[in-house]
Amino acid sequence: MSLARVHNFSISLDGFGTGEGQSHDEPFGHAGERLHEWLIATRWWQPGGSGGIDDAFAQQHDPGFGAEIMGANKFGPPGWHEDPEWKGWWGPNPPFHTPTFILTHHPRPSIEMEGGTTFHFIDASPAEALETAREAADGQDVRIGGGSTMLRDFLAAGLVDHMHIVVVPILLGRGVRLWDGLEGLEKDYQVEATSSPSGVTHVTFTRAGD
Amino acid sequence: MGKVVSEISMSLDGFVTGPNVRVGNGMGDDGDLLHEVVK
Repeated sequence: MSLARVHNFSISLDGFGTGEGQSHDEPFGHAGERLHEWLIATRWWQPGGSGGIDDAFAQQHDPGFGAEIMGANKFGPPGWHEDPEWKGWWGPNPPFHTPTFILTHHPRPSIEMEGGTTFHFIDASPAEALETAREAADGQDVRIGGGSTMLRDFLAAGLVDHMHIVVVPILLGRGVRLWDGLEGLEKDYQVEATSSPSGVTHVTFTRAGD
Repeated sequence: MGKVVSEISMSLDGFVTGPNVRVGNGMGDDGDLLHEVVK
């Protein structure tokens, strides 16, 4: 079965998936790179990086996926839909290599990038988007790419089969919260937490029975 | 000099008790879930 999976989604200790004041120069607002230092340090991110627990989790971002869905706030800074030339943060060869669906209230024609990534812009509910992405994934899994708002919506709709959250021991104090409205979410999952020597905690949610 | 220390349990979404904390319900509703680790 094609699973909906989340990988490498970082939150602060107080539950924010991004800081306040997202912009072109600061994609994660006042959080800067602090939520992702653990990831940037891995071999998965760059040659010569660490090869320990953090890398072992990070590597799972790639295999087995046939599509990704992301929210509008992951694809670009606020207002990107007003820039007809905006093609995402990732340059000519984005790290998705599959059909990639961007949830937006401002659909535009699809963009074929290098390396197998094609961006599709759809105005759809989480369930509709997942159905569309599953068809495109051709039997493989669908990555739920975030950000916080879209992930919260997918969790609230009960659509996520496996989720890897990384708790970073910083207090952002402001930004976009992940957990609001998800009381008791853990009851639907087997939950495991693994502490890394880097200081972050990897928390995995695996849907019971999968 | 003695240090001030704190040891406290917190849910993943940042709560340290459930709702309705009062005498006889010190951790709030379902708050004891936070302390299963030390039972």
